[in-house]
Amino acid sequence: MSNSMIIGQYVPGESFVHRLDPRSKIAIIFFFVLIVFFANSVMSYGLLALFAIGAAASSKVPLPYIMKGLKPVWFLIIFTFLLHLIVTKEGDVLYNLWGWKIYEEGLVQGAAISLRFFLLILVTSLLTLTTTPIEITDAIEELLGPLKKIRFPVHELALMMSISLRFIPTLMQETEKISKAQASRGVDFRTGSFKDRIKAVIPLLVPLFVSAFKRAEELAMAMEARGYRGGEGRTKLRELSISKLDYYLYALFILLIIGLFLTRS
Amino acid sequence: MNQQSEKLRTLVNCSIFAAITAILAQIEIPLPLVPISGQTLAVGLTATILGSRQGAIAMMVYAAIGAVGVPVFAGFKGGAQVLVGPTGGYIFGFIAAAFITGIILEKTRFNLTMAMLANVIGMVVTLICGTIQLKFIVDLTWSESMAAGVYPFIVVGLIKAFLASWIGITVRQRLVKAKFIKETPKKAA
Repeated sequence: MSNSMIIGQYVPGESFVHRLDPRSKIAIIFFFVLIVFFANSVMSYGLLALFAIGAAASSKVPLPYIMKGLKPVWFLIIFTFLLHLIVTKEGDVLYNLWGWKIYEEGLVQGAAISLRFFLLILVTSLLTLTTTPIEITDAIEELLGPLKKIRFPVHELALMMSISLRFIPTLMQETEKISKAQASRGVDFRTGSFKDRIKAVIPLLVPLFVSAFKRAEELAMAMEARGYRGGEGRTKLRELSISKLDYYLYALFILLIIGLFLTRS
Repeated sequence: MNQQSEKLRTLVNCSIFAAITAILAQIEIPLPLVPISGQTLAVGLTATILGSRQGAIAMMVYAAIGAVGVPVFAGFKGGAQVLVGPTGGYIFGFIAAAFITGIILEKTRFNLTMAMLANVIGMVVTLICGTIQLKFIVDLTWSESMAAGVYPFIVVGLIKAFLASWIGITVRQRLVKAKFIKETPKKAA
């Protein structure tokens, strides 16, 4: 369980999408999310879908993994579609099912919004499928770099994310250990009255927080001992670099934007 | 130097609480009728133990590690698609909720009554943030999104708020007794 947690949804690979610089991927996704809202014709939606599905295909991530990322929202995509189908009462009546009328506008709107939804989710989940959490953290630190000028603690945020990622597996083991230790002492939050169950949670949480505070103190001390003094002048273990592939992506994306504005109605 | 060291400790504490929130979010307490996920509970706990500022920072870090694809949200969900998706507003709501819950407790006292009040207000804040995002992402009207995002959660939310305050205050008292946190959190650097 702790392993699957830290790798996240990353699927290792060597594809075009995997080898892109994480900064490029994040920037492109950011702009993609913005331009999705400009699409308003069949052609423009088609172009966006082509880009998104093309990206997913070229990532060579097996389809089941992509579907897994979409799983939590399938329901909502369908729900949105049906909702618009039922609620919208404009345009021609397309079909009459025992007095329940389906209108043209409802069908169009439902399809457009659920497609928009699908594209957003597909593209954003592609980022986490092809990039490790640590790479994304590094990229975020670099991309938000300019915000340091307005005193936004970019370095600190990235550091905190790294520490947090580092400690999830450790604390997870700790939690398991504590719950086993307490269970052997007779603590049981699966049976008994409502009040007993809640009370049983407390002997699990107190040791967890105590050990968390202890670990935090140890880590802070170790960092100080090694001379940590903030982001200023710190060098990196992993350096990011922009390659030729990234320029291809930019060119492709600019073409997509031009295409989108030409096909809008 | 002292200030630097204080800052480093705040930083590490917040990160570790973000990690704890991530773990608690995966745990379910099997209660009759409403099994409660540790996610909401962890928000209340973090705010009660760390206070407003650090609590909110911890929640931001939690949202951020979720955004980079670690499945830290309830039910092993993760990735930026959760944050931009229809239920993402609730996650952003946690940041606001932690801050507001913390600040109410700091301005008054850390006891059960105040904790209940603070947690209920925190819950309302979470629901409001969640509903606003739900409305705009799914393109619903206000009354539809209230029906989907607020009404079904009120009763469960009240139970959760009550539990979060009860457990939160108890755990806090133990930690204060063991001298891991101070009686009233002083303003962190």
